[in-house]
Amino acid sequence: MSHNARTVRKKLARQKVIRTIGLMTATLGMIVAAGILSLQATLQSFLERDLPRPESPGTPAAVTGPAQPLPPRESRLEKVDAGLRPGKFFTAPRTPFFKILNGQPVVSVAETRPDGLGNFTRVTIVKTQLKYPLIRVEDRLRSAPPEGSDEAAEQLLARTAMVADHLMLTPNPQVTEEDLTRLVASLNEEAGSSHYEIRRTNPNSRIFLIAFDGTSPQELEEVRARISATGLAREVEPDYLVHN
Amino acid sequence: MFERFHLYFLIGVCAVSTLCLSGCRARAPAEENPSWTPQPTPTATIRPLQLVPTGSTSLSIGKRLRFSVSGGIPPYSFASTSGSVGATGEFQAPYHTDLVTVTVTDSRGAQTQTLVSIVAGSLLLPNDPMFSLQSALSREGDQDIDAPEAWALHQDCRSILVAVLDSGIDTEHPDLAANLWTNPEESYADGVDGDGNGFADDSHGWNFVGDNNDIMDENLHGTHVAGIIGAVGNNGIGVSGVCWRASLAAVKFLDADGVGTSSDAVDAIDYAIGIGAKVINASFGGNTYNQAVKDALDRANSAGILFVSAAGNETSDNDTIAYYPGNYDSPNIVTVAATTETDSLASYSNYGVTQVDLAAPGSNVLSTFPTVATPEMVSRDKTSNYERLNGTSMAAPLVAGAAALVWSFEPALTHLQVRARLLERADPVTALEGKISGARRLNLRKAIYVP
Repeated sequence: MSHNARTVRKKLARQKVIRTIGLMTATLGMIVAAGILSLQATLQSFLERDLPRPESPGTPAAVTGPAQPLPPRESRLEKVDAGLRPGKFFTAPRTPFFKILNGQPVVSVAETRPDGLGNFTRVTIVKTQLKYPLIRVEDRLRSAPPEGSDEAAEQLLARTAMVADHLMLTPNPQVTEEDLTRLVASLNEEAGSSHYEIRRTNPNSRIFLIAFDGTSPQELEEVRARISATGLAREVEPDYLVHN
Repeated sequence: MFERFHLYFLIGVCAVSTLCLSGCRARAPAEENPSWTPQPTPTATIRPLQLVPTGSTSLSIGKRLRFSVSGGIPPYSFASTSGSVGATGEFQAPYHTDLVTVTVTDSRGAQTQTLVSIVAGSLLLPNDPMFSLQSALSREGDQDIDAPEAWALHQDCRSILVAVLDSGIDTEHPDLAANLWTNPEESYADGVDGDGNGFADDSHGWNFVGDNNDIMDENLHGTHVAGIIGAVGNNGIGVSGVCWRASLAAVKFLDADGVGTSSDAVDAIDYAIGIGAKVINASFGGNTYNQAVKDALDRANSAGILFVSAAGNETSDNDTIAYYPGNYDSPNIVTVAATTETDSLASYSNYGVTQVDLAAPGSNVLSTFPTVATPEMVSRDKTSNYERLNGTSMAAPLVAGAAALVWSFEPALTHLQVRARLLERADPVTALEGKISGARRLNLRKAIYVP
């Protein structure tokens, strides 16, 4: 065996070891990730509000000036053809009050990919006759095809509804309405639109309703994350529907 | 090679860390009601009940005495207002049965107080023609809240403003109109915000659905709830509320379909605080947490307001599946489940040994309905001015009314003491054991006074 051949073999062996270690690390990571996913999915199946709730920063990053630029955020939601689900969405109300959504036109639909248990979230934007017409319905579903059937069946685990085109913002104590006005202006500037606005204020509670277009299923989460990141808000949260 | 290694390694690490982070963020906020701690009942001015013949009592302190009377339902008339040792103060009460505090002052200015019961009977029945159908208030057996027994002592809650956060109230209903709160600074519909609270002409409440002062009920729910708390009693019309005389503010934030938003609920709670409400009835809810609502409830607590919340009608365990606002962990909340006419937990009622505080009758509850049929009434084929409904929405206002009655009877109590009174003195019910905290159903008579 020549010196060159030995060197090549040694190099190949070293490469094999490195590749094996790398693959083992990735595999281990994936196993742990799958475990966490499964555990989280199991817990989430008992919770109606399963989407991430951004933490409120303790102190504002910038009270004045434009909103902090954020890296592009990829939504977990993927577009679904609303035309594939005529009437199906509203035929299984979990509680009677969701009947008010029956027959209302669907504006858009999106879903997350199913997890290991087949659980996924579907977000539907519906146009209603309510005070705030655009309603976002979040369904936590489980794919449960009947045995021996090709047709996919879905089990509704939980359903929540909220206003689709605004968020409730509770500002940090030192933040003024002018700060929020500047925030809205910078959001409009960044988006090249005029959709963002302060829809309503409550001087007693210091709640501000920050409105936006809201027709896209992804938008509410994205705007929420974006506002949270500015540090202006003690809380940014959906305006949920309640009923008698 | 190393690039590939790094890639694999980074994929693994990023996957774990991202999922860990998202797992933390996805966690629902912790909502644990602290277990209920009974508050000591204040007894400073309440002496042991002295049962005496109708309309008279004997007092024996000091040398020269002066009598005065407080509490109960005025006016009282004294045969004499002063006397010497052993004097008998004769007085008459407008009702057959009442409970008053007699203060006796001697010549040195020293005072003693005695709670005196004027007993002509143990029940006081109103003359409302449909009262006999109000089984939640009184029925044969012991599954009701003993309202006539309570009314024998006290019926007037007008001093306690109760805010009904609901779909509005029919202001034209003959059994409700006289018991609506009237804002003294907004008597005229002149478009002027007389009291400067930001709501012009809010003479009886405010409409947060339409952002105006039209509080008329377009659903039916709010009018029914209002009647349970305070349909005018003993007026010879329809039904009787827990409070014969009441002060009801219509804080409308649910629309014609009975649906509202959390942001309007926040505004409604703040409005109730602003007008000086002492009790809020919240026969609404949902399964989602809002920090803004929790903050509003805490402001209500700081303002000394008792918040009575329906437990929900999903037959579910609120300890497992949260139902708000009942599940918010503010100390001023009473969460109410519903019982049937046989004193068992109603089949529809939510429950929870931690989250649900009290039960009250919620089945076949007869109360007021809007005088003009709403689409909701038509769809339910219930178009009379008085109808029966089932739900924890009906149980909660019985408790809200009871709170107002207790509080008006003993104005010195704090909202937390009123809460404790309602819970402590409720009737133990075997069927509620393991279902709700304390396993008790409201008893109005005991809440007011236990000998």
